[in-house]
This record gives sequence, structure tokens and C-alpha cells, in this order.
Amino acid sequence: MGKIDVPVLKEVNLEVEKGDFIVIQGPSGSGKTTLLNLLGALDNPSSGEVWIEDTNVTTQKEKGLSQIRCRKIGFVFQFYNLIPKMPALDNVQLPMIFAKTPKEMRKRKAEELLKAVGLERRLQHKPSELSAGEQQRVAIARALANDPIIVLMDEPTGNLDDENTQNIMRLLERLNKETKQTFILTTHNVSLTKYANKVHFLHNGTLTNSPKYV
Amino acid sequence: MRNSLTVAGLAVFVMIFILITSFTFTVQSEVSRSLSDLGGEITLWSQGALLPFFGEIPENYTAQIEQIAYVEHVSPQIARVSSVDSQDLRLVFGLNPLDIPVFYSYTMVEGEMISTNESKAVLGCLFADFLEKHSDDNISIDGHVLPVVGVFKTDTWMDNVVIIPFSVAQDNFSLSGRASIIMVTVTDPVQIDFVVSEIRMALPDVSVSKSQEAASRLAPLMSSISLVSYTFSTIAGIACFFGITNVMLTGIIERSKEIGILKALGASGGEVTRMMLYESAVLGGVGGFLGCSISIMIFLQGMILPITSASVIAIQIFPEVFLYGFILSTVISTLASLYPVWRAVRVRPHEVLKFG
Repeated sequence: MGKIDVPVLKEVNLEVEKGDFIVIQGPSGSGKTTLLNLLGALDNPSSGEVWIEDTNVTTQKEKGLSQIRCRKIGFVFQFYNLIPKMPALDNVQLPMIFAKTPKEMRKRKAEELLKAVGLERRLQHKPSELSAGEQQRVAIARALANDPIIVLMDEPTGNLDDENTQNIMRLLERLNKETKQTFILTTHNVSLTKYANKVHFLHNGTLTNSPKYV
Repeated sequence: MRNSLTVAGLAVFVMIFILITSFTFTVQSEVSRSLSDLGGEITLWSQGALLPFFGEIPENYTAQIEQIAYVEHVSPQIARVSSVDSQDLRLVFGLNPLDIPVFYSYTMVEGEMISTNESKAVLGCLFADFLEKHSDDNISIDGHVLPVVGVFKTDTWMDNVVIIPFSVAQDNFSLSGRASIIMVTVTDPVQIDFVVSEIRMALPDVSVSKSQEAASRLAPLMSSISLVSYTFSTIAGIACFFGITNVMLTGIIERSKEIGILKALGASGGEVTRMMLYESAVLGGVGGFLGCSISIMIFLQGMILPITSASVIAIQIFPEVFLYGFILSTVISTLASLYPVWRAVRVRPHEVLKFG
């Protein structure tokens, strides 16, 4: 009796340019989350390699992976994954604590980011005191805290209504243009592809060979 | 809630530790003080006796000791626990009347001190108050009726005893030709060590020590008391240790998502370890502080240790015991969290975050 290996992704070959806003669209179970976990140094592939700039992520030890996650990658999750007992300002400061950013600087940066996502009046509100859309805005601000090269978003609008979905997507579109950071977003919602400059389709663990330019 | 229970458990442990250790320290302190209150400069008692008062040594040793240079006074004494007025087990001292002013400082509250070998008794003031006895009353010691001729006060534990003439004590307790202890004073304090060594050579079958060091002769007994108390404290500590480990492990499961978030945001294993150990140490500190505070409140209410129905020892406050309790609480809490922290560090973020 032992583990059974189930291949989730097959022959995936994805190159991402700096400043891209990529949407990977696919149905549930197609491997979107697994792909993001690999790109985000949260998981290791059973075969193949992941490179971020000049760094081969797959050869990194735990400490190296945490450094990559801290300084090069920002995460936005479907269910926000904010720390419930911390107010918005502290949640946004968390990644900067791990990056050893000085206290005053990280507080100022967190305030700027929350202002950028329209939450300057919600700095001291805890997640339970914020709406779903506001919580996701806090999560986006947190993902941008350490000026990452790539921001990975796993179904960021999957838990939001249509109005909040459009608001969040317009915010991401604006931030992508302003910060020139690379955004990679997975979704099962085809309508979100219009916000991306590149779209990939993932089906049964297979990524379409060439991106669809919008 | 989980943290509150951890703190409560630690506080209970600290209370148990402080109360048991304070009890032990108090007993040791009281025994040492009692021996030093005995007077005299050199004390002899039966080798191997659990307590010096209750051994037996030949009375004629006094004659041999008197022959040693620099010896000034030699006083054979008897101590026995007896039923006094069918009331209570009470320490009865048999002393030579002429030795009493030499070896003990006292003032007479009423009546007079025994001065002859007649069958009479004097009572310590606390015991007299308890029995409501005065001069000219009678008391019964193991069925022997003696007139009370006085009540004395020493401001020591001696205020709880009965003193009768040494020869009467020998008769009443069937100790003819024997004594419990022999007290010695010397003419020149500088020569105490010489006298002690001379007595040891002359009487190899008795324990001889300077009165100031008499307490140290009880080291085995004190060690036994310490062993029992530390065993209880250790058991409480071990129970606390595993309790905290269990609670922390449950906490890791509850907080695995939070730990996963922190790791996804860039926290290294070392940072997660430091953060969780810090939390544990703080919980230990809070539990220790709470336990110390509650213990102080209990002490302020008066913690007493009954010795007999009439006498008690107030358990004393030893500041260092509180410090030890606080440190132990912090250390146990931190050590108990090592394994849960190790488990926390192994949390793989993508496994705990993938279900949202």
C-alpha cells in the first residue's frame, strides 16, 4: 500500500514576460491551482523545472524557497487568507516583516498600498469587519507589499459577486499598468479573459501551446 | 480559549510548585531554627537517630566530656513526645534545673523556674495558654501527675514545651542512665573545633557537631523531605509539559492554515519557529505570573501547617521560590512546544491553503 502518483499537469511549457497580465482559464480540476503552486515556489514538480529570472526554483532548499516567496512573488487567494485577528494595516505589513523592512517604512508602504486599493478608511478594520470585496483588496495590497516580480492570483474573484468581480479586475488592470509587475491569474470565468493581454487555456493538465492575445 | 487553558494549567503548576517548595523550605528552616534555639555550643546525640531528640545515649558520657580541656558546662537532656493532660502529643523536656539558666534564655510569666529535682513542671507560655493552666495547677504527663510551678517565655518554639527535672524525666520515661542529647559549652569559643574532635575521639559512637551546624547533621532527613516534594513538583511539571504539548499540537492543527499563509508570504522555517517559541514563552511567563500572584494571595490569607492541635507553623514566603516558579513555567512551556513547533515548521502551505 502506498501513494499513487496522479499527474496533474502534463507537458506544460509557459514563458512569461515582465509586465504581462496573464489569465489562465480552465474548468475546475484542470490543474490551475497546481500550476500556480509550482510557479509560486509552494510546491515542487515531480519532473521539469520552474525558473524565475535567473533562479531555478526547483533546485532551491526550503530557505531559498521562502526567500523567493518573500521577495519575488505575491499571492492572492480565492478566500483571501487574511490573518483574522490582524487589522488590514497589519495584514499588509506581514510580508514586509519577513523581508526585514524597517517598521516605519513598512507602515508607510502598507498605508500607500491600502490607499491604492481604495481602503484608506479601513486601515484598522479586521477582516471580519470588511466585505468580501474589501478583504480581497486587502489581499491584493498584501501581495504587492514587497514589490514582487510576479503576482499570482488563484481565482481571486471566485468568491465575489459580479459587481465586486468587475471592480477587482479593473483594479488589477490599473495596478498592472502602474506597477509594470507580472500578474498571473487563474479563473474558470471566461469573461475575465478580456482584462488580460495574454490568455492561456488549461484543460486536463494541458496548457494550450500558444497564448491567445487579446 | 486554548491559550487561556494553557495559562491556567501553567498557573496551577506554578502554584503547586510554590506551595510544595515553600512547605519544604519552611520545614527545613524551622528544624534548623529549633536546633539553633537549643542553646549550647556543641550537641551530641545518638548516631543514626532520625531526629536528635529521640535517640538515646549513656548519661555517663557527661563525665567523660567534662574531662576534656576547655569544656565549661555539660548538660544531659531528655526529650520525649508524651500525652499531656490526655490532650495532645507534646514535647516534654527533662533538664537539670541548674543547667536551665546556662543553656536557655527565658523570662518567667508567672511562678518560678524549677530549681530542684522534685517532681514539678514548668510550662511554655503558649502551651499554658492552650491548656489554660497556671502556677499551682497540676498536669498529667503519661499518667504521672506533677504540680505546675511556673510559666516561662522564650519567644522560640520552646514556648510550646513542658520542662521537668532531668531525673524525673528519666524515671517517667524509663530512661534510667540515659539521655536524649548532651549539650556542651566551652570556656573559649576558639577551641570549639578542638573540643569537638576530642569528643569524637573519646566517644566514637555518638554524633557530635557544633550547634550552629547541627541542622546540617539532619541533611539526610531534609533530603528525604526535599525528594518527596520535588517528586510531587516533577510529576506536576511532567503532567503540565504533556498537557501543553497536547494543547499546542491541537493548536497547530487549528492554526495550520495561518501557518501556511505565513509561509506562503515568505516566512522561513526559522521565523515560524521563533514566532511560535516566543508565543509559548509568553504564555509560560503569563502562567508563571498568574501562578505567583495566586500563591501570594493564598499566602496572604495565611498558610499554616498544623504540628499538633495546639501549634502550627506558618509556611513562609521565600522570594526565590517564586522566581524559580516563574522561570520553570516559562521553560516548561517553551520546551513543551518544541515538538508542536517542529510539526508547524513542516506545514506545507499549498496543502493547507488549497481548500481555501
